[in-house]
Amino acid sequence: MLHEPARLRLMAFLSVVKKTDFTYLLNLSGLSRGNLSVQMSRLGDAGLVKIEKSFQANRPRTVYQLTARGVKALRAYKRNMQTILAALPD
Amino acid sequence: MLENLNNLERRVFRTYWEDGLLDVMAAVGVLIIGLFWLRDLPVAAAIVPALMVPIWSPLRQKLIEPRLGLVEFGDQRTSRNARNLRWVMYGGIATLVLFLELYFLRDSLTLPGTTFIAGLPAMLLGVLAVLTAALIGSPRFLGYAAILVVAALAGAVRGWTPGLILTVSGGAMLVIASTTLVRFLLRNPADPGPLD
Repeated sequence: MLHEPARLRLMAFLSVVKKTDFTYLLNLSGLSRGNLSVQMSRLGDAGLVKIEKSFQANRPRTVYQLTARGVKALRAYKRNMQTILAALPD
Repeated sequence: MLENLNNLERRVFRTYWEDGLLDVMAAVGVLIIGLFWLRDLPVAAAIVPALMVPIWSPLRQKLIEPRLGLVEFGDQRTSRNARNLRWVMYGGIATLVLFLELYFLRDSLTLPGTTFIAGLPAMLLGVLAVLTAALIGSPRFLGYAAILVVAALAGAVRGWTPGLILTVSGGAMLVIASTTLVRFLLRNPADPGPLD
């Protein structure tokens, strides 16, 4: 799930903030609206990201937050990658 | 390639302040103080924070958030901001006290180097701009500090009043700040909302 570069990048963004919305992630990631929406839905379906949809001043707002499972998955991914990279010959 | 997470967090935080709204408010603040001083009412500078603080949040919600989006930073960043903000507030209060002291003592000051006294308010605001630059990680505020310091020195040498120095530097800041804000608004049309 996290090995896909766009998703890993989005998870990294979410790991450095408490929560953020679709527009902020869109500006920060440089992904297209469609791609961002798909990737965030996948992360949400996997339980790595909590998705809250609401309305503010008659505008839809979707807020994302890393779940405890997401934090654990990101740490595990980092550990695995470090192990793999450390085993590579110089 | 992913960058270091601390750098990423700093970059995200800096992005939050790149719209230029804070710049415009700072510039308008300096301009108002300068204009009050020109009318010999520097004490009225105390209304600047009272004007700016209540309009900050509605303006940001109306102008910036639909374009830039919403972000809440982590606890570590929030507590660091609160600590740094306290220092900026202490700096602001010290600046205000010095303003008032200068105002009430202006006729009795006979110290050597009093030529540069006229530039002192702008210098003090320059220090505040440096503190703000450090707080929000924006090099633009270092530029505003430079404008204030240069205006303070040049104005003092030319025999300008503190009010004129602040008005001129506030005006110069406002040109840069408005350009930054307008550029941000043009480059970032209000987002129609997320896809479902």
